[in-house]
Amino acid sequence: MPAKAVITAPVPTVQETAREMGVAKARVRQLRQLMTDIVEGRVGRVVRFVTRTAPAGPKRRAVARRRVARRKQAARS
Amino acid sequence: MGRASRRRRAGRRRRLPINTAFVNVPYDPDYERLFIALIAGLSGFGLIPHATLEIPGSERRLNRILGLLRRCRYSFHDLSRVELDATPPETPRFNMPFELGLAVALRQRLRRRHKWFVLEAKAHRLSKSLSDLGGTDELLHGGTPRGVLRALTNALARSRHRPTVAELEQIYADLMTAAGAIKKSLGTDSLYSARPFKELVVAARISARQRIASLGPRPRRR
Repeated sequence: MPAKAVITAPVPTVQETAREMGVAKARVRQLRQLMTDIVEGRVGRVVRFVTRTAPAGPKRRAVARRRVARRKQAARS
Repeated sequence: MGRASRRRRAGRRRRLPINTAFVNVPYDPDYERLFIALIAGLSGFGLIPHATLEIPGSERRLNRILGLLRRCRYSFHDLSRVELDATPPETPRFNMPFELGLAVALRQRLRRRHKWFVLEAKAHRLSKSLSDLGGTDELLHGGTPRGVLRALTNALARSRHRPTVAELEQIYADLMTAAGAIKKSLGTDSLYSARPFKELVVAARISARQRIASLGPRPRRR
């Protein structure tokens, strides 16, 4: 067993790590948000990561409503 | 087969990743803190940890282990839990020493660049339990997360940046919080399955890049 291994390889980026582990981009985005909240000490937001299935906020609701309206319009035409 | 075509075939061979580490540890709840420490430490050193639990179970277990070992540049084998199992009939856990044997054989026969390390909780126990490894210096962790991080800083070094134990402890603390959130979010109470493990590795990389400045993205030169 060698005494000490010197690592010369460049540090992989988050995207490279995610690709190697097979984690989806959307999930990486969520994990990045979670870790930023943990590092910055915003514990309340960590709870939001866990309860992701909670009803959408006003912004997401508005986006969803617009998407449905657009789909209906496309179906009519 | 001509020499040119042989050379072409050799050129086509996939290059092995040089920043991957195989983690051979007991998958038991008592070991979870040390498992997280190992992931935090390896990520702090810029390595991507791999374990047998990340591959789906359709393939034969031994083939999975061999395949992963071959793909990894480093391997870490924790023999601190090679003890008698409480459930009858009482048997010792041979998996970890067996996988260590595979890594040793891999280094000797197949790939000389593979480097393996043995982790232990107690001093001199390895020379008693596995005397074939006489003359091998085990990495002692004393059964604590800080001990694991200290052992990693003794075993590894980076050519540009050497993370300190304090820096690795910050990643570990972040990861402990993240582990709880990931487990709740995936509706599981164990980290020892494919998805929580993979997400934990990605979370560790994010934390490492945020906590250790030199691991973060380099500013562009003008």
